[in-house]
Amino acid sequence: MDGPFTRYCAAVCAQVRFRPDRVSIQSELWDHLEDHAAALEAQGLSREAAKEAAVAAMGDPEEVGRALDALHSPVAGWLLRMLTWCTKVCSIAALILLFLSCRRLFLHVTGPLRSVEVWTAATSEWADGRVYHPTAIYRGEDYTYSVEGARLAEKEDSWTLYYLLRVEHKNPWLRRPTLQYLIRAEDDVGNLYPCFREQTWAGSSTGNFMSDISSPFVTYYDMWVSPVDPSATEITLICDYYGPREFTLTIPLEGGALS
Amino acid sequence: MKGTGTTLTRRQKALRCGLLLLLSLAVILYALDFPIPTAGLARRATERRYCFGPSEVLCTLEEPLIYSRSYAVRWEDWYGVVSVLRFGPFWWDTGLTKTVKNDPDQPLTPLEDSFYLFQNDPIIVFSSDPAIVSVTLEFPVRPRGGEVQLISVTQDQGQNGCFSLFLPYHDGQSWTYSSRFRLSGYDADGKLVWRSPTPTGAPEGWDYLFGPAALDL
Repeated sequence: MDGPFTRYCAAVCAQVRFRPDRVSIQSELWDHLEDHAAALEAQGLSREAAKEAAVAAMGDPEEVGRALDALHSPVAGWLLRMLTWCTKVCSIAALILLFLSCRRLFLHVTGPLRSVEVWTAATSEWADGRVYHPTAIYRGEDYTYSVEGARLAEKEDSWTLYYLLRVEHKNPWLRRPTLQYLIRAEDDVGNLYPCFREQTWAGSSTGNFMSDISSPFVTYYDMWVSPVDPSATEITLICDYYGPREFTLTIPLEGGALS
Repeated sequence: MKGTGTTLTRRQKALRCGLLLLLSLAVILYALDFPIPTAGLARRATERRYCFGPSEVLCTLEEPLIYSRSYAVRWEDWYGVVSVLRFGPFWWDTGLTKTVKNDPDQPLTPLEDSFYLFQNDPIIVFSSDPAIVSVTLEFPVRPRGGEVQLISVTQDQGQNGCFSLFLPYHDGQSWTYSSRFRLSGYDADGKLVWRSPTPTGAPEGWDYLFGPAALDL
């Protein structure tokens, strides 16, 4: 094995400081020398002469080695190695965590859909109500508010407006904003419905989270306002408990489909 | 030219690893349910979830029972306590925000929104009067089979006008109704600066048992 290729490759690789790359460099050089020697053999040279000629054609091994060393810098080489290891560790961790949390991830996807289904099913049990589909959307700094559906129903001699509030949040750290106790309401005939924090017996506006599992990017609330004045034609929801207005949404009460 | 090919392979390797690493980190973050890296960010997110703030931190409370860390904060006309939770060894999670509106007519504002006060559940008292350096909280307890007694707790190490008072354990009765305590603020010389009105309507009869006549105030 102590032929001209071996000596040449060893001399070249000795110049390369990043040792882990020496094997691949040697293999590459060897292949190149073999190809060249085979071509020379095909032109009629002997095997040994072809090898010597191929080595000679490659040039000074130290010079070639220095050029390859510049291409295979140790700093970049070690950084790539670290990156490779980090990637392997993170990939394995990601796969394990993905497996362990697949149920929760499934609920993240299905939770919002289930919330809408549950609310629709629950409210459709009440007869003699009117169903509304408000289109108003309020885009705040961190949250986007909308009402997915509303139902005005008569229960115990008073009218209650039930509505499904949808809050979208791009930042998952801000999921489940606790605003169900901070939303007050007022109608177009001057009635005020205080939020839960300011609740009086005269009227109230409050609600709950739709479910324990919420998506990182959307939260639903089962909310209600009661007792609603039957002469009101619209109800405006306002969240400004601390002063600055967080959002305002209007639910029109005219028309609507009979349930 | 072979060398150039090797360099490209290295770059391609780095690019491939980098992309895979980013993808893995994104999956890890999603699988860990988007953990929050610092307590400060968790505090800000907690405030935002309650439509509160951005607030100014008056002091940090390191000994709450339920939450890992709480911050006493001020925002415009409001005081608040924002509590956050530790989540694993590296992460934080959002918690709870309790608020109370600052009443300009009273120098001391207690933050208490629960019906009962419990042992070692801190009561945070905010002072808007810089002369007040010590705060005392008094409340009635009735030990089992015993007479109603008046317990007092004093905090003289306030921070930025924020005092944290813990109810002591007292013969099995460590709680009181939250509306039945009285606050007093003292200056550096120990003189009374302000005292909250004597609670009324308590079953034990604050006025009768601990009113000015009974306590010789």
